[in-house]
Amino acid sequence: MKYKLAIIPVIIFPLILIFLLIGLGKDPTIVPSPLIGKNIPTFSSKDLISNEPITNNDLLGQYSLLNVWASWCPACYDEHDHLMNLSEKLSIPIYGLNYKDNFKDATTWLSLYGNPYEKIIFDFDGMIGIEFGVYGAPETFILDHKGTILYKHIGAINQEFINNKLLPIINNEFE
Amino acid sequence: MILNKRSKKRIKILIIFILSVSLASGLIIYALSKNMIYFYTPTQVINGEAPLNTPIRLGGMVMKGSLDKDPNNLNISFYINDSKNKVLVNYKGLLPDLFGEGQGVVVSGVLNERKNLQASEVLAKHDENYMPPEVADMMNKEMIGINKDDYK
Amino acid sequence: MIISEVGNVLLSFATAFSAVTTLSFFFKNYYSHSYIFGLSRFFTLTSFFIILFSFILLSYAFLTDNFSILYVANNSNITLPDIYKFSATWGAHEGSMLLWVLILSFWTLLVAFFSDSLPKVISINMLSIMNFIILAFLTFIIFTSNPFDTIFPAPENGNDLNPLLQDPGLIIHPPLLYFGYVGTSIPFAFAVAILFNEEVKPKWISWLRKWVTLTWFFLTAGISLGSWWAYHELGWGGWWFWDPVENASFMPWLILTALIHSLIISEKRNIFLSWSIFLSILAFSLSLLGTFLVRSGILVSVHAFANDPERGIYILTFLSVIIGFSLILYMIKSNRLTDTNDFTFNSKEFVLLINNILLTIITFAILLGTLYPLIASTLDLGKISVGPPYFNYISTFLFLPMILLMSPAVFMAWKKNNLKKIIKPLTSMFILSLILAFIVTWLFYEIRYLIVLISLAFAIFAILSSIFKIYENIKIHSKIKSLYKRLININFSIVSNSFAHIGIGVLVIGITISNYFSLEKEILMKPGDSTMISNVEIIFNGIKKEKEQNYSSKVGVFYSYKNDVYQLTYLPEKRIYNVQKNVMTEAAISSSLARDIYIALGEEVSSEQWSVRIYYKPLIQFIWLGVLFMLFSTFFVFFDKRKTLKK
Repeated sequence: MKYKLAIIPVIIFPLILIFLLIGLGKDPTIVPSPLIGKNIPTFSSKDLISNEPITNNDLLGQYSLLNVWASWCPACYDEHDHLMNLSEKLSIPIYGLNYKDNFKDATTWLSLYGNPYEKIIFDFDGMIGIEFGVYGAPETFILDHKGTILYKHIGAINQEFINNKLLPIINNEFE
Repeated sequence: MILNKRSKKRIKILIIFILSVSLASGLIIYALSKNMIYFYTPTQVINGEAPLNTPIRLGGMVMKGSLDKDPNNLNISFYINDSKNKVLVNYKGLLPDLFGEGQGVVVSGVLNERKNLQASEVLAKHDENYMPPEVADMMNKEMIGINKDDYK
Repeated sequence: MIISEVGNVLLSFATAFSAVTTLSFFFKNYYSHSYIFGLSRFFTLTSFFIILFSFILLSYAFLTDNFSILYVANNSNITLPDIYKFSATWGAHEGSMLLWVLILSFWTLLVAFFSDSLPKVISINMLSIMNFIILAFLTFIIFTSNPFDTIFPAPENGNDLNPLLQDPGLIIHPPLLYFGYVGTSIPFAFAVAILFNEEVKPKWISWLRKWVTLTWFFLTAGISLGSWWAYHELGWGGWWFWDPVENASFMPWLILTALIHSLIISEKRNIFLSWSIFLSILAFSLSLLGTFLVRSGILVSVHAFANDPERGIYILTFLSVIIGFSLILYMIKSNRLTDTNDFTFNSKEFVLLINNILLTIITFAILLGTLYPLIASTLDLGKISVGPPYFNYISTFLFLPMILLMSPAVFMAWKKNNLKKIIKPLTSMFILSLILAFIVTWLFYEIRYLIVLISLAFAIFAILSSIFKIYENIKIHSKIKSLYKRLININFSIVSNSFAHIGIGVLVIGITISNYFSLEKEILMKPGDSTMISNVEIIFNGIKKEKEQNYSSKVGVFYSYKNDVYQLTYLPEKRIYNVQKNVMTEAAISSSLARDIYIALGEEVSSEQWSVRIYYKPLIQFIWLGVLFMLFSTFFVFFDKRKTLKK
């Protein structure tokens, strides 16, 4: 009799466990990026500032940071100090992807707050952004010298991203 | 069958046990079914997937430039949008510290016939995430960007 | 750099010592038990001091702004006041796990040195089990959340501590809560040790009951401090939100409460032993589950820590191994415990059994409500949240019968009652409570809700009967002349449960009245405006700006008047923290036993015009007063001498 009752928790517990395990896989706060580990898509556009042609090949050759931004995006303003700081201190270039923006707003924005970018891909209709799997600005990609996407950060750059992801990846490269 | 005193009591205990457990489960199931709140995105609301006049939760981004505060009272209205659609939210009261245009938000309230949400609560949870997880998840499913047009 | 290396070495040594102590379980029969016990005790002591030292080392890294340590860089800043630099040690995931292990190690140390009333075999097994848990969490820390990881190059300044955590309440809230959480490992280890031993003596149960009570003390203190903090800090006037993290701490509390009562029966009557053992396992399982829910970020919560599925997997694996193992052990072995369920319906033990069933059902209901969103999304039933109304509904209907039963439980005798003797005082007290509840509501509040009258009457009934019981207890000894003899003759177990029950009664009164009769105003005010709430007039004088070391703030100045007489100045704040630019609301609260007045600043809607939230909350302080009674009651448990009744 008692033996039978004691079976109940032994049965219920694995059930709870299964839900927890599946729930863990479904973690609602993790947004996977299908592009991680793959090469950046091919594109050709113009540089926002110099108006010279720019393609995916211009991003190769060394580790780099690709930052998706727009003048209409409030969170881009939040992360701008970090970007300015990084452009001064990091040995690797920062490229910008100006996403669904117009030339005038974007250049005014840069002249107001400073330009941390080595080159800026002008993506007025967001087509390049779609190729990159961008679903909102800002986003930041860490690329290696072959153009492989090593990491994708969604949302404004913060100190945690810099400390935990960016710096370790860069330090690995130079050690 | 003649039951001795001991098994009689055992049966009594069993009956009490089953009675109390079924009573409690009934209560729990009833309460649970009454208090489940479903979560929707603006697109689901516009497509008519969300029920009217029933408490729901709506999540998305606070559309930039849409926040309208009445200077004479605490009436507030703003749009919540996702990649495709937007829903007007009316609210009266104070907003949480982390609320802002272009930020993710979850509101609970009731939809009226015009598919406007009368909000009873605006939730901005205490993480500095760029968007609430439910919203991120929904948007991820749709895999479509937040368009600049949505901010107009 | 050196700190990181020393820290890692310390953690490894502690791991090794716990591993060795764990092994004593298998080797105890090859040597004399007292020899093995001596060794286990020594290793436990050593490992405690090593963990303590690593913790101090981490605090030192914080206090010296050592940003070469990643954890410090992420959670501190040069401008952070020293006291928060210290508390930042456990302000985020890695450090709080270290604190978790430190406290676990401390409890293990206490078991090692204060278990003389247990046979050596039981003590050895308990130490072995507890060290196994330490071992598991130390490896968890080392492999998935090492607070001594470094960052190179070290940043010049850190990312600052989350402003929400920059509060005096949150300095001691986590440690207290962890003491409670982790303390459940003692009954767990005891339960497993007993299942291997297959024999229990009432003396051992008595020993366990004291530790369970101590654990319950810490968990109660931790939970209530958390709700006190939420009330003061979150700016919404609420003190309990049924957030998954709150539920995670409330569930073990309920089971511990049930366990205390079932241990009383087990000790006194030598029955329900296997039930007590089961509750012991359950309490620890729920603590682990709570840890998992908080750490894995599986449920979206106010307290959401940065989540990491790897950490979740680790805790889940550990949880399934240890709980699965103990449940199967329980299934196989529990029926060998000498356990006759020899009781009548007309007895104290039966009423206590109902209390146990109710507490377990409430726990299950809360577990279901907490996990339901997860279950629904797993089964693709849509994204669902279970709102506070569910939990409020459940707890109203399940707690009330329990509160009603508290009074007869105190008056009933073990084994068999003389019903005639207790029915008369109980009915007269119950009628008196009903009348009192009615008069109080009618005089001070409003007779509008039946449920208010019912819960007030039940609460007053519990308080009256407890007071009467203490009075009766003192009266019995009134013939003894010597004050000292009279004192030691007092039955402390009655005093302690009376105090606990009075506490519950006071708590219920506080919850009921503050829930149903609070007033709330959200209005716009410009300097010079005034508003009435209850019988108090609040005048808004204006805003002044202030600057502190790590934040700047706008402070609203409000005066309160009662019958045109000035009473108080309220200074609610809106803070902006320098580093993370977070905005925080600091409410201004004036508390008295009768009511709280609570003012929080909203935002500046137009020039000089602010939105303001004002609450009038009657009897809300009764909530924490009740908790104080409950905490105080545990003090007497350490003096009571219960005698086991003969069959």
